[in-house]
Amino acid sequence: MNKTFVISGGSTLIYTGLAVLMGVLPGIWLSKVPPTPGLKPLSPIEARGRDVYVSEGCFYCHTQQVRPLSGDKPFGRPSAPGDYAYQTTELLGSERTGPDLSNIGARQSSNIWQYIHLYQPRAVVPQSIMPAFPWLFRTVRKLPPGEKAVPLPPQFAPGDIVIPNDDGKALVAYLLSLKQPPLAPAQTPAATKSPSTGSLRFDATKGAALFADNCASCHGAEGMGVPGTFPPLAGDAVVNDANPTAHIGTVLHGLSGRVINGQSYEAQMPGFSDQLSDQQIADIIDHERSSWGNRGALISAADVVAARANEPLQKQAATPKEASPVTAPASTFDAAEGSKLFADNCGVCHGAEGKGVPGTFPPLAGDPVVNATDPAEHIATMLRGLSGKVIDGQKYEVEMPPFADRLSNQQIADIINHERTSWGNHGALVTPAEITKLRSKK
Amino acid sequence: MMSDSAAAIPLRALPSDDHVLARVLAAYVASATIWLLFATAVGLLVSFKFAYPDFATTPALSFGRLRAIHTSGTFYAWASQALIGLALFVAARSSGTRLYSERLAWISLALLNLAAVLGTVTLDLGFTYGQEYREWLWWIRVILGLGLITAAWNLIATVERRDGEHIYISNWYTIGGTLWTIVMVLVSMLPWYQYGLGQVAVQGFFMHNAVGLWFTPLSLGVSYYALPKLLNRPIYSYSLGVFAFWTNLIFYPIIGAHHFEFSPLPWWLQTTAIVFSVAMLVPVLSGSANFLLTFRGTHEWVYRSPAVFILVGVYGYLLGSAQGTFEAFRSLQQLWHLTNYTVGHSHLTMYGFVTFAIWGGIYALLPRATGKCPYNLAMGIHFWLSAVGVVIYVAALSAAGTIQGLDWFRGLTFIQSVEDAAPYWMWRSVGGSLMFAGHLVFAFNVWTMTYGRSRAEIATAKTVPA
Repeated sequence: MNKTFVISGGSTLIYTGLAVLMGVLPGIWLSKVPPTPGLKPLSPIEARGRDVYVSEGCFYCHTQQVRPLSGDKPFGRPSAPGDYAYQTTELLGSERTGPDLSNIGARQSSNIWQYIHLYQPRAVVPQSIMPAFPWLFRTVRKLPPGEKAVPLPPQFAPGDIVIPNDDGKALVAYLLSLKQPPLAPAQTPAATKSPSTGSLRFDATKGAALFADNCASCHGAEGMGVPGTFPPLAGDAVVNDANPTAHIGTVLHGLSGRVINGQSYEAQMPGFSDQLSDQQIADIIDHERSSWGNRGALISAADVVAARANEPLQKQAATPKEASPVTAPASTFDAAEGSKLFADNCGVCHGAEGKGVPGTFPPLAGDPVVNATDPAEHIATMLRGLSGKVIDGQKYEVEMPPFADRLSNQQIADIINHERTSWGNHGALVTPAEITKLRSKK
Repeated sequence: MMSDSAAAIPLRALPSDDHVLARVLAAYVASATIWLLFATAVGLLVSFKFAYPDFATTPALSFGRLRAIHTSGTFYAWASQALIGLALFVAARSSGTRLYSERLAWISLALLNLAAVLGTVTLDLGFTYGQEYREWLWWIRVILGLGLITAAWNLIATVERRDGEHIYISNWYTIGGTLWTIVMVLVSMLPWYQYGLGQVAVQGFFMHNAVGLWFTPLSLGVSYYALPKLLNRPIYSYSLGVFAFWTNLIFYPIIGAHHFEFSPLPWWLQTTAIVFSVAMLVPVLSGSANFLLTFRGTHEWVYRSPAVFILVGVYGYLLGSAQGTFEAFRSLQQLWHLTNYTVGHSHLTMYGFVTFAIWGGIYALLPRATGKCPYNLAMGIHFWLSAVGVVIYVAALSAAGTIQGLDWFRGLTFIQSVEDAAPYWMWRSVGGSLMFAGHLVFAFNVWTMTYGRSRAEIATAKTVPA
């Protein structure tokens, strides 16, 4: 008796304690994470769509977690704890056989594309291995009033008219609701870096990759579009026009209801002005203008800046020349590299302007540690991260991750120098040697 | 405290009880085998959908529903039923007593089957809890929990009937594992602390515990009994087994968060999980060393006995668990997390370790219960089909996952990673087909060992009383 009691009772007691410690308590604590500012609860139809998403097992192949890793960049900004406040039946997922969907509503906002893709993924992405979901649709002889037919390419159309059923509509409503609220206040388009180099050479690989990520799912990898649904870019008049204004304007602001080559297109093209930088837009446009037999005149980021500025007021506020006062200090560092590294690693939380997010992520502009003459604490924070510190009387819940393993000494120095010379900061500059020194110190 | 002298305790047979124990074990194994065939047929079908996505496009045969049926079926029907059946047998035999209650054993089996049938049907209709490895609706998990409670009750009560003071190490593992799993099922079911990110934390905890505190201890427990039987020698070190028991219990529950590295879960929780993932090497190395040292010097005839299944199981345990430790490092996780590498890892552990250990246990103990032996040739065919199959399977998916991770890392388009992995998915199906063919042969062997007729002679040393 005694012995059985000790082994089974004792071990179960230990296990129960650990289960409470590692399962229940973190659960209680993390269940209370407040929502990211700007995150909206689901509407009833979106909530129903989420049920469809769960019951069809979409989460077995699609994650909803963007990690702070370079490979995850195409999917959005790194996920924040508050992004999941309304997500019960969490859908972070453990496999990424298909792309991450955290921000799919922003990345692929065309509901027509979503419908075609759900009905038959290979109609829009030939290499896709996603299952088709024809049971989220019904076929009818005559289009019921108030419904819209799914404009399937002929070789995938079943003959009759295809319309989404209630589950299909709900699922697409849910997918389109998946938009990451920005963590930093309205990202200013990265207009800073000088288009002054003037040369019209563009980075062909970057352009191709950006096109693949942002445009190819509708316009096709070969720029052929989907007949009747998404217009081709190969041979398109606007793309081949010597004057790029219309082309840039379309990429910036989107397009809808336009008749092209006698064909009217129902699907709406989203605008990319908020999602892509000027340089990225220029790369995409140049890729389009130099591929598939197109021969449009190439453009530069400066042209995109100009095109952005053409539009009325509100956007103008976003484009002020804020050539960073980087040139002032004597000590030198690669300002461009620093600002890029900052944007990649820090900007999502601390904001492109170093303003942070009030109450969630501390500002860097005017921060005493950033402006301190002795950079030790600044460097240590970069290397080892930070948590639970009260800054300016404000307590911040979110932890800053350590970067010691992710960035080289040179990179960390570049970032720190960027922070110390931007947004009115005037901290002393640092050298990679100082980082090396502090790295070894524990 | 209880050194090797303890391992040499007499494991006596009580002929009067043989038929009850034989009946129970045969039924558990037969039922589990049917689930194995079903769940792996589903897995095979699903694997072909990677190459032929438009094959069988109906809701009931869609990937999103069948995947859960495959995992739940192999976990909670095949492996769980087989392990509980073996554990009941081991409890009675190692304690030199009769089974506490045959009736209770039938009730457990009925509950487990009821849960599995209901779970499969509801999942196929699209009803799911939506959390990996605990997809069954909560009331079905209650039925599963009741199956475990009755099994634990039967195990404890059987062991309580033993004469001496000593409890054989196998029963530590099987009783402990069953009791912990009951706690785990409860923790994973209560809703109050599972909202948003809180549910992510519980999911990380559950996912890992389901494997590490259910299948691992039961498989090890059964092997601690089956292997000495087959080799006709005691386990190398009894104390090492006890040591591994406690360290496994203490380290394993802490490492769940390593399933969500780089996620918004608190960084310290992830770090803690990584640290204890390294600590897991302690029970893993001591456990596998204990088995491997038990094998020492027996090469000659291990290969002609069911012990070879256990040998593969031990290597699966060692390799799979060590791989798990390394995967937990952030540097490697960056590359492999979310890729198919993970699927390879889970098959190396659930198949290379757990399933092979179960087969070793069945081939070792079922003939001793029923008196009918499998044909050696059929056992060999089963072994080679499954072993070669799983090697191909794991190698293919490890390569596919590495390529996927590198593609993402290099900033290639996502669809490129799909195209690059495609040939390896084909090889995965090849491996899976061999594994499934092995299961058909295994089913035949189970038939010969239970309800069918066998003219095979018991191959292992007859001098060991079961």
